[in-house]
Order: sequence, then C-alpha cells, then structure tokens
Amino acid sequence: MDIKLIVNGKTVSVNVEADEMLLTTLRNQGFFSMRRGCDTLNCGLCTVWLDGDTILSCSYPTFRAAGHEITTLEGLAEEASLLADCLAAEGADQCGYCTTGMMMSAMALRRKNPNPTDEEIKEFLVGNLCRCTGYESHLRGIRRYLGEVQK
Amino acid sequence: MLMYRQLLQPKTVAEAYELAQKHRLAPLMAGGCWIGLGKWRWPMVIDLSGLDLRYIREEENYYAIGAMATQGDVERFEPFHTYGRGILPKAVHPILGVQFRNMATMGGSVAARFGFSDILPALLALQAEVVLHNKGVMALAEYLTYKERDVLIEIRVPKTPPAVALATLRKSVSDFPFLTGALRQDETGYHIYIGCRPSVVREAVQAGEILTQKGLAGLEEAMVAAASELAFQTNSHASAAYRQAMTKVLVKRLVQEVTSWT
Repeated sequence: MDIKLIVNGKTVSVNVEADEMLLTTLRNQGFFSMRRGCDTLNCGLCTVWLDGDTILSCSYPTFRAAGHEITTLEGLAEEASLLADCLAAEGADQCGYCTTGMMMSAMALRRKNPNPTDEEIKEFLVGNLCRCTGYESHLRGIRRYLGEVQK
Repeated sequence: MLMYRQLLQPKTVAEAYELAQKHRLAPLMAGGCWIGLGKWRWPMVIDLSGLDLRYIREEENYYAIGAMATQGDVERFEPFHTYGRGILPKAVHPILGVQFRNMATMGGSVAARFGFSDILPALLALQAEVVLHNKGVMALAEYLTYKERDVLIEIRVPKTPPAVALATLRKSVSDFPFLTGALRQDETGYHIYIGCRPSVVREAVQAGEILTQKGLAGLEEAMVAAASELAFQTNSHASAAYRQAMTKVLVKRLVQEVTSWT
C-alpha cells in the first residue's frame, strides 16, 4: 500500500504491508524514539501522538494513520530535553527503556491539562509501565517539569 | 500482535455487511485491540475504519455513539460528564491506559460482548439500543443474545437517563475487573445487572423485583437473591465463590449510590 504520513509536520511517502504497524513504519523511517515492548497494548513504550492523542503505535495499522498528524519524540525535541532533565533530576531514569513513552504521555498530559493533580498525573500515565523506579520519581519529575514550563 | 494476511476495506456499511456474510470467519476490525492480542496471523480481516462511524451526536431523544467512536471519545464528550452522573466516562475510565482508550472503540466493546466488559453493564442500565445494518434498531439486552452476524452501526442512549449506578471490582488499577454491576431505578422499579461472572452481564431479575416490591427494606434479601440466582464461575481473576460473595456487596453499593439520586 502506498500512503502518505505526516510525521512531525513533514509528509513522508511510504509503501507498507497491509498489516504493518505504525511502530515498524516509523522505525523504518528513522524515528527510533519509540520502542518495541509488549506488542499487546500494555506497556506504553511505543506511545506516539495521532492528531494530538496518545496511541500505541505497536498495534495501530499504518494505513489508518494516512493523512493524520503523527508526532514522535523527535518532533518535540526542545520540550523533551527539559522533561528529560527533570526526570533525571528526580531519579526517574534508570534503564531508560520506558522513558520515551512516558515522556510522550507526560507532554500530552500538559497540553490537555496544564495543572493536573497528582492523581490526574497517575491516571494519565497508567498506560506506561516502568519496572525500575516505582513511579514516585516519575511523579516528582513530571511535577517538576510542569512547574518549569510555567515559569 | 495484530497480524493479518489480507485486508478488506469496505467503503459502506452495506458493503461491510456483504463481506461479513461472505467471509464468515474474518473478524470485523474496529479498534483492533482485541484481535491483536493473539500470536497468530488472521487470514483475513474486514476493516471498519472507512465507514465514517467515528462520531458522538446529540439527537432529539438520544445520544448516538458511532461504532468507531473510541472509549477516549466517550470520556472527552462534554455532555457525558454530567449525563447519568458521568456513568459512561466512569465505565470506560478504568480500562487500561489513555493510549488504549484512544484506540479501543465502543462498537468493538459492545459487539464482542465481552464478559469482562466495564461498558456493557452501564449501557444496559441506561437501556441502550444498538443499530445494526441488517436487523435495524434493537435493545442492547436483546443484542447480547443475538446470534446472527451483523454490522453494528451505532449505540443509542436515551437523552434523559434514569437514576443509574455503576460499580466494578478489580484487583489492581488497569486490570480486568473480576465483577461488574450496574443498577437502574425508574418508574418500573429496580433493575440490577451483574457482569464478569465471568460470563457476559445478565440481569438479576429476582433481586430487582424484591427491591421494587420492598424498597430499601428488601436490600438484604435482594443481595442474597442476586448472588443465588446468577451462575458464577472461576477463572484466573477470582473464584466462583468469591464472585458470588462479592455480588452481595456490589448490589449494596449500587443501591446506596442510586439512593443518593433521590
């Protein structure tokens, strides 16, 4: 299937199999920020934005993304840098495998709810699993990032 | 992982129905969340994303939820925040994470008639109807036992909801529930629905009748009736005995919640 994707504001023409998932397509195009994890919609490693909403690219057929705005971490580099610093400062980054997916969710949360409560942060990130840090450091890091953005 | 060899892409609901009849083993792919959980590659799937069924509309007497509207769409639809004290957002909110709910569709959840569905008890309590391509408009309660292959177009919930309550029990956040329940109190009395037994949600008719006849004075009796009139089974999430025991608690919580409406 020949389709056109809009990735981080740029149009990309790709030829994909009917059952190629967006994660595979994006990685084949050189966008490596999203990782392959569970492949069963559970872990959140492959999180990208589709028209501003977070989705799991491991299970999203690429053909369905045609014509929609796809955003990866590469397209949010400056903001991502700030968030990464905040997460690191709070010890929320150990093996780092979950971090990019977690960041995509955190930055989406800020756009939908700039002043979330701790409970709202936890609820928004429930689809991002981390096996290192126990989440409390993520909560502190995201709280710190939201504060920095508002300065 | 979602895998299939052949993708059929109907452009109309009628075409989708024809394909569904012709290829009876090919799943209808809505959000693709459930059919992607296995490790096999489907020989063929029928894609429903080209049918323009992703909408939530306010009509004169009901809200129409298109089959391809996502659970996230329901969560964000402003009128649903207060409709039935937020029962629909409340029903979808515990389902996995935000990303999943932005992909999983309402039509997929309803058409699959999952026993563990958080959504079905809420829709039953609201006396939802479904619109099918071939069969037309049908009560959701009837659809749950409807065996023919059809294409679900939309789900309708009445504009003015009765007093309803929803309660679910799960071991941890984002896990499947091990028991679900919903209750409606209207001019006909109380109607209690218990799901995830682990089979699909059913009405506890006797329990509802007891409450209707005796009011809150019959609560203890209704709790016992609900637990004894329905069948419960054991699976990895809970034993039959535990589900049966907790059904009494669920009924009590539902009645207490709906009582606060009045």
